Amino acid sequence: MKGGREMPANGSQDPSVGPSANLEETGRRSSRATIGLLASTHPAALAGGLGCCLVLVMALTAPLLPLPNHLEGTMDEQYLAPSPVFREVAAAPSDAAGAGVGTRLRRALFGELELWNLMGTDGKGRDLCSRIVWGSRVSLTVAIVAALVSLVIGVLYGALAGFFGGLVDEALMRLVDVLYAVPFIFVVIYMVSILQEYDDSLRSRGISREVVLYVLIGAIYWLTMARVVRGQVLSLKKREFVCAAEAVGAGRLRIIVRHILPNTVGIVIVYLTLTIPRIMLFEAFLSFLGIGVEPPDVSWGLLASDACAVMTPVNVCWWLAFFPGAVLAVTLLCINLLGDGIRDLLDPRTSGRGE
Amino acid sequence: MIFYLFRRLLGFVVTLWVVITVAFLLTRTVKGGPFDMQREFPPEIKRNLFEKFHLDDPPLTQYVDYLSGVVLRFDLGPSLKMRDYTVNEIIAETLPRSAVLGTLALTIALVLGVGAGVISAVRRGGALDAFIMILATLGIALPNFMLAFLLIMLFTFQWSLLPAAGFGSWQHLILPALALGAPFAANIARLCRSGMLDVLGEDYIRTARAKGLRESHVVLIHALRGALLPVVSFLGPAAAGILTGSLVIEKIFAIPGMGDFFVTAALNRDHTLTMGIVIVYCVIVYVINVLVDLAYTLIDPRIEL
Amino acid sequence: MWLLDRFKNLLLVLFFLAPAGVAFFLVQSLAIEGEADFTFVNQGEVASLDPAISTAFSEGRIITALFEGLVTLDPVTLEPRPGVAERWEFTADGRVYTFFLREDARWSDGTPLTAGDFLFSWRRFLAPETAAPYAYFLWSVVEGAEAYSKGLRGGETALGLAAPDARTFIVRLRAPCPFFLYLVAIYPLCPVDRRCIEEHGEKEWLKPEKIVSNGPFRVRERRIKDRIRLEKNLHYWDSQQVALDTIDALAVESPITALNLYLTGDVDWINVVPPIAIADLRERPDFSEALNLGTNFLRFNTTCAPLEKKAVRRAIHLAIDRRELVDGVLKGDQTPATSFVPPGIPGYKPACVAGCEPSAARVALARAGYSAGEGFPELRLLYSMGETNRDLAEVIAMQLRRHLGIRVHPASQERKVYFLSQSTLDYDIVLCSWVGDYLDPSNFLEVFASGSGNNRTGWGSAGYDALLQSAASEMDTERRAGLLAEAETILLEALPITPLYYRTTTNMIKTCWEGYADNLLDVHPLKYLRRSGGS
Repeated sequence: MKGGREMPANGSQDPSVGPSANLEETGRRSSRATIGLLASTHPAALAGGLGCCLVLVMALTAPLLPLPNHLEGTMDEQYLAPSPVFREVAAAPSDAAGAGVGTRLRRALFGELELWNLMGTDGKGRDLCSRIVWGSRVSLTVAIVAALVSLVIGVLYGALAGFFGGLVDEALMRLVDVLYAVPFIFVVIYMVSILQEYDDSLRSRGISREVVLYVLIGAIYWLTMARVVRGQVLSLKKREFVCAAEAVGAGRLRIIVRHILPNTVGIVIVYLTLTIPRIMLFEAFLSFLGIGVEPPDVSWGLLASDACAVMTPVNVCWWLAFFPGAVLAVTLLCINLLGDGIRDLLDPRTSGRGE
Repeated sequence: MIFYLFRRLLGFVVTLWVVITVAFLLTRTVKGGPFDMQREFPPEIKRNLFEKFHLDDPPLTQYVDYLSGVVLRFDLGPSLKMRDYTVNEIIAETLPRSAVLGTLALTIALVLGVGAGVISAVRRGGALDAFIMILATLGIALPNFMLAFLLIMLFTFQWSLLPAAGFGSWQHLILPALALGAPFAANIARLCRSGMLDVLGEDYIRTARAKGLRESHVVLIHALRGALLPVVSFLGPAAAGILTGSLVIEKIFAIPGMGDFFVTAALNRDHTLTMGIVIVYCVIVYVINVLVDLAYTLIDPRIEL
Repeated sequence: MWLLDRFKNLLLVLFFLAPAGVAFFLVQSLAIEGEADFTFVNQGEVASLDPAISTAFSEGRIITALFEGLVTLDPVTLEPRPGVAERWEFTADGRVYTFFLREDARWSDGTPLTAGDFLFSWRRFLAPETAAPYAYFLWSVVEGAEAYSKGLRGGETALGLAAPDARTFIVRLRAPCPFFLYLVAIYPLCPVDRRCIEEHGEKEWLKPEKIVSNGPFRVRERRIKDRIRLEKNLHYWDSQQVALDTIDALAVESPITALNLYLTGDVDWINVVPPIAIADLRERPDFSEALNLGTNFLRFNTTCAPLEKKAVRRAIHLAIDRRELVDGVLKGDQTPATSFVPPGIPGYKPACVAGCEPSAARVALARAGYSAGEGFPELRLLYSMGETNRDLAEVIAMQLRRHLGIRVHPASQERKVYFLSQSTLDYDIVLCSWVGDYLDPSNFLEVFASGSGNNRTGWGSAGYDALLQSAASEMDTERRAGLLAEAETILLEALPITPLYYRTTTNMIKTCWEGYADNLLDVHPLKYLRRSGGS
């Protein structure tokens, strides 16, 4: 405990600083007005928000886009520099992934054409643009699932600790302190190995190895979420509306769920937008070590680490590093800007000053 | 103060015990052992090896032996893969190198981050502010290994300024420290800027300005201290992040430190070395967190431990 | 008071910058001083300098520089040449070898090297306490070796090693062994100094300041994970030949980092080149690619369905386009394999098996009951973590899908788990390699003997084993080669494995160095290296 201010100790920006006194009022402001406010005072944040939406749209509509097969290629077309051309669909995906509504819609829209070699090809002749678009699905899924896992665990834990206070709080927070000291990369490396043993039995239940990976990553980031939420709950606890609810005789659970949790939404959202980039970078880190997403699945982290694996001064396939890097950087930039904007909006001290 | 340190020490002991136990469980549960190799050992030889390293003892015995070795003799055991050395010797040799790299990275992060944050806050709303903030956000938008390779391409091959890898002189450390510290510089810049903006609105700053003090004096002497609070509290997780980031940076730049060893030891199932490094990691992070708390009180006397 | 403020701020600044200052000073003291005459990348940290327990190539390079055995191999022809033993004789029935040590053989501390040292070293190599991984090499060759290694009673006296005087070392074999001299040249059989071990103990004698060796170089310094610095051993009998004074062996694991170091001139020799760079480096005079005595292949688990059916294995074998693997993934001079034993062993002509025939493959698969891949279960293709392995596995999976319509999904495993999966037969198909330890086909073919621990396929054949047995005691080289070729034909007919390609080694060494020669075993003794044109 560091005196009056509870500082989140895991590298997030300082979202829990100070009570968000206007949170209730903010929550009741209409969404249109919020966006309007955002646009006028934080153009960067709005741009960020738009960028995020674009990425989401790209990820969702991947099967509809006229892109070549991202899973298989022919070795003749290895390491081609970008030179875009429309051509006949070369290799139909032989997975079930392509055989549904998406493919039919795509055929209706684009016929048998595909946009080939917009961003170059990789070592197996696979189109890089296509891999980036499909990779966004995996990367975003990782980030969102892991963030949600950390959200659920962290919010519950932090709310409980903050609300009950006293010994319960002390014990729970000591546990968090201890868990903080465990080097999580070590745990991840070993857990991935251990889980590989149960790969088959998990697969038969429809749980892929990736999902377990996401849950594992989420389980790392809940610690800071718990601290942040706890700080927020502690300050909210003393507010009038909570006392009023208690006076009226509302049960503890009701108070937590109906009154306190909704008011942590702001902080939580801010924290989420700031954790998601870190999760995506962590996924890239794991891919570099070789224990992240496994081929033939593709994620931005895998693309980034593959690019680095072939970066030699004699044979620079610049497109392999540039495009995934640019897309990753821009996406994370957008998420960060959006998060900054939301935080500034919710924090009463800066919302008056504007950006 | 004494009470605080005592509490922290107690916490440290408990934390260390938990970490050792978790590490022990994980290393013994994972599949594959240190002696699984390409050429199959005949069963008799394998048995001898297991006996030699007490790997055939019941797990509880191994656990107790290890724990007592660590606590009573600070003996982290022999390395299972590097047969010429004990874990203590390996860590004693590789830790200083990692520490040197980590310290330089952290300092670069601080200098760049605080500098950028202060400038950006002072010139708030201007083009310089936007530029610095975009640069800072990019710093946390790229994985550090990508940054490392880009730096090598630029500084080693495009302009032959710095060596590609190795550990020989301070020139060898510039690129790795930069690659390792840049993401944290970005974070620190953002934290410093927001902290600075908070402080600049405070009354005592207005008083200082009213007194007619120079702006640079106001910013650097009075405001900076307050602005540093969020930065200082970030140092703990920054140090932990640098330790983790060093895993890939040391590998790319062939720096013979502890970080790269960590991954190699985990992959080689060198249990004693892995546990030794995990313990050292835990100690380092804990000590830095305590130091950060102490630095906190130095900066802001209102805060009590 | 502003003075106090200033002071406090300065203190703060110093508090944060001081560690960096300390770090700067430390770098100098932590790094090694000076440069060596010759620097090379040794691919990973050496596990141990003890010859007896060494296994990896990176260890071999250092140990052959530090130690010398009875026999060494000629760097060009790979023929056995005198090492510590200046000559040898063997009896007509090939069962007793006598080595005569040279007079001027010395340890690096000046003390004379005697046959007693060899007796001690070989005993230590076989001793159960040492648990040497390659001890089993001698089990079927030297009399009493197996019993001694297993610690059986009476093992000590029955062991067929003797040192009747300081200059003579006698080895009694169980059966005539035509390649025994090649076996003697392997680096685990290098001698170790008994006095050094007794003085410092098994745990400490390997430390750089204590270790005593007998080879062309000795250890000057050793920095963990950084480098091993070797210096010329003046007591070595052939030290006149040795041109280098100091050598640095860097422990760099990543091939890309190694290439970067070579291209910036920091390193003189690298022995692995990343495949993607090969095409651009191939034309350079300092690049050399040579055939290596090794084969990469796929192992099948013949104990589980559907791979227990030979037709299925044959179908998979015929469906793999090895040329595409070599050209697309490896990009080197590797040759698609048509046998398990690679070519190049003098006096042995490997058997031959058909290559890629997709139509024949489909026929074979249909015969097994899975026409067009229907009903064929999804199999896992295991490979050890690594980019090239991953690429190979992915392309093989693509090919099998294309040609046979069956689904094989590549799965990476960490090295240790990968080995464990093979020993416990917990796999379907696995990507493997076998590199020869000495120049004899039996080193390859014995892998698939039914009792061999290295078999790891669950396959065995009495006929195959019988042929290997008779070859083991056949003294006539031609007849022996014939027996071994017959055995290989059985192996390639049953296909518990399918060979993929013969390995090559890629090396880059600066053109200013001579004395480097490519050979099948990729041994490049440092003792012969010198700058060309004098200097």
